Amino acid sequence: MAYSFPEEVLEHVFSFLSSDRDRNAVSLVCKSWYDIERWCRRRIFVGNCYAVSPEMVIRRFPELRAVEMKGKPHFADFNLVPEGWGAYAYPWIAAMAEAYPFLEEIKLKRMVVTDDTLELISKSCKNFKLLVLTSCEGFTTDGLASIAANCRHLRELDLRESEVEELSGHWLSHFPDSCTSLVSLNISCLGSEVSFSILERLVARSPNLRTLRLNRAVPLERLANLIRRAPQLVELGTGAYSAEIRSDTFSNLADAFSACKQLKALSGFWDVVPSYLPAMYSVCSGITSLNLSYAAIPSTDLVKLISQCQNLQRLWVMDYIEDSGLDVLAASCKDLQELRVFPSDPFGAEPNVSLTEQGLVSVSEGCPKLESVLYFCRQMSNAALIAIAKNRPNFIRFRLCIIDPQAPDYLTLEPLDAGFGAIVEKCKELRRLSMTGLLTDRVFKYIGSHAKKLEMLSIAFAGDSDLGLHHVLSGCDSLRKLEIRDCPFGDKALLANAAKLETMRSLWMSSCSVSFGACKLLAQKMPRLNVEVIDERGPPDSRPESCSVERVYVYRTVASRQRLDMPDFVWTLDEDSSLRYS
Amino acid sequence: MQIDLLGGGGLFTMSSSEESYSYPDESDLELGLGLSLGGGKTKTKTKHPAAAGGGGGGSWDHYAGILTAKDFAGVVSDKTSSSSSSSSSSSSSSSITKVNTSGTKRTAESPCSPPGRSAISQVVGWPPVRTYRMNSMSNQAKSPVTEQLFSIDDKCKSKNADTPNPNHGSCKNNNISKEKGFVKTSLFVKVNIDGVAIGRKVDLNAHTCYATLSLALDDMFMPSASVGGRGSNMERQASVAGKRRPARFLDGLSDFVLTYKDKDGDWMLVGDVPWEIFLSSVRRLRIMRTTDARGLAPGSQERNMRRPVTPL
Repeated sequence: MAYSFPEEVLEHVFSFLSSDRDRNAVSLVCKSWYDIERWCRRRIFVGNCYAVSPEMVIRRFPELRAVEMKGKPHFADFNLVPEGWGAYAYPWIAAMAEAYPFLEEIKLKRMVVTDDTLELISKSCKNFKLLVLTSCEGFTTDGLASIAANCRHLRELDLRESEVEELSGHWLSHFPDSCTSLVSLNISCLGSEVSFSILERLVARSPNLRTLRLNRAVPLERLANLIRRAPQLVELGTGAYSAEIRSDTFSNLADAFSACKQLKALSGFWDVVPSYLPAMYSVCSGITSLNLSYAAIPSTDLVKLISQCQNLQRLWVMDYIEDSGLDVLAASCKDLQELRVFPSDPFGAEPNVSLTEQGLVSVSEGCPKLESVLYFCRQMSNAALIAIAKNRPNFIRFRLCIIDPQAPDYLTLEPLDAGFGAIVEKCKELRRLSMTGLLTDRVFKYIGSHAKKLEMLSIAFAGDSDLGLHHVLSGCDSLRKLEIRDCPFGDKALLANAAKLETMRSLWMSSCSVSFGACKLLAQKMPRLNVEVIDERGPPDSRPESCSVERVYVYRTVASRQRLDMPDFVWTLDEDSSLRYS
Repeated sequence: MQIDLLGGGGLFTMSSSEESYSYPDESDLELGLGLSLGGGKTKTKTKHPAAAGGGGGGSWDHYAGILTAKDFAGVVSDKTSSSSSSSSSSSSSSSITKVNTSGTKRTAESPCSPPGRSAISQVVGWPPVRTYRMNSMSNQAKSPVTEQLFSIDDKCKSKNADTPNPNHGSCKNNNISKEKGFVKTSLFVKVNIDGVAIGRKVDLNAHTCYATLSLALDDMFMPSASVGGRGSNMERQASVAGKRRPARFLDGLSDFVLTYKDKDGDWMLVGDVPWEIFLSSVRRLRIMRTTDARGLAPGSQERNMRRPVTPL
């Protein structure tokens, strides 16, 4: 069968396969197809940078053009992973820069990227086109200068929410005058000023620029000039959206916006002065994505803007919108697919806005296409959750965060088991779930029985016993990522479901009841799992084996379990089953 | 889309019955581990229920009794945990006791809790809002532009009607700042100590004065003289018995001084300016060897005097 087509034909056929899943399937048909496929694979996604080694990737796929990789576990976003844990990009980049001189795209998430890394990319990959660094850290504006200076064909530079040490704003001037290829530039995470004239000239000579996300330091008075030079923009992130109220500033801005016929996404909006929002009204009907999550303005102003955006599909906003604003959203934006509501005062002892569970209920009622929600609030009831589940069985992502992590149903004072149970029961396509509130083992039983398509689950301060964890591990067939903090889950459930862990990308447990002894046992029994004990109190074997570890991070890997970059607070098991640390 | 490491072609088969275990009935309390442990079931250590992890056998009762939601509720509302008394089981319940630095748990109570902030603010990483977002919001509160805006109320009232309802907008804005409050959230900055490659992060808004910050940093980097980590952790554990230590970095007697990089990129000695001004200009911290900081001490004071510090 494999001999019926010449290699070139098969390669051509395979070139139509873009999904990794399809390509993986193809490579398992027979050795010949495996070989042909690996030579023509151009894109790769590595969900955990420690699951495989650079050498293995390079050996198997000699001709990659695009690499996407993730490093630290998700809970690193909330400071639960100590600094220095790992996820260094350099070893990967060093190996790939040598092996793939034609590498074009690199996307990294939650990794430590140094200036050396960026310089290496810029000097080794002559055809480099796209760099996306999401929630990365470790580099400075000098690294950005190398990218700007050396990547002649750069199309995208996107620094989403990365932490950049800003030594100077002049890195932008390193883009040569001959560089006209920019399609996307996102510098919204930078705190300091960049030279406006350089920015304007860069924008002016980039006819293909589709995405421009400015940083807060770009004042509103400058925005009109920038937009005017790029009326073809599809995505715009403003800087600080505030200025003295002047009619000429306003009309300049309004004119500039009205020339942008293709604008679909808006973001930025720090320091909003509501009087300037109407300057955007001319583009609102085309807007599908609106990120107002930094705009501290009252509900009435938010609503005035949102009700102009009838085609809105995605809205990120702060809880200043309040229930009343969400009612209007539900009435106006029938195409809404994703809603995120962030807390304006997460640490306040008392609520500062009138945003309750009712807002979410309204939106779930009014927006038939709503499928993805992240909602911070201060009270919730089973009745509301049940109503939401009934209204919206098409949820794919449901993330609820009640500020008080163990708040019961505020009406009945019961646990919220029934509410979340309804969510998983009705929403059969649910892929991601985060829960908070008072929750017992019962909710996990519901999850285990119903959430068959669930891929990612985040749990905090919930459950009563190991039974809870056991329900999840034994019942959730599609589970890939499980992250748990501060739950009374321990050894039994973990060890009883050891094999399950190899079918998942990773498991994170911090401040639970997992003993060091169990970690050792798990690592001994499951050679293809890396069981990292992350504990800042010193060597775990200086305490009784029954003592709980601070954090354990378990992930499947075909690379060595002794990664060379472990800091002194990470312990893994050695080949001879003895405790090994760096 | 992932590399399918395990393959669908039989590279790895899950052993089913051996490893999985079904709990037929919650009332059936007799329990054994699915994996063969070699050596049979071991007796559960019953003294410290929270610590009983490794053993097999024993009745389910022990586990059902551990750390129910009520225990957590009690701890979250500010009591120091009494349910897990031994230091060996400190991790689970003490995680909700006061912590004020990322990734570190301290059993000593943090002395200064900013007013108006709930006990929630003392839990690491809760609520789950990314540092990036919290710092943005926090900076918003201190931004000079924002403050200026709330005083242009009057100006607005006299402007023409080009912009719809300028009064409405700005007045409401003013109300927001008073009622809803632009509150301080978190301000995480990096802190490095000379001689150690790995840095830490500290939330400056969890402190109201230099003294508590200094204590916190002291605890974080405590045996500052010893290079490298292992011994340090043990020493740290031994000394965190709640003893109040003098502010090592501020008293000028230690080998190290605390410095910070301000928004202009200059390194200054910590402690020279009022706390609020420090907060508004600090970008990162560095615990420098005193010998290296020699040039800094008199110089920074001069610089402070030469360049007037304008409050934001």
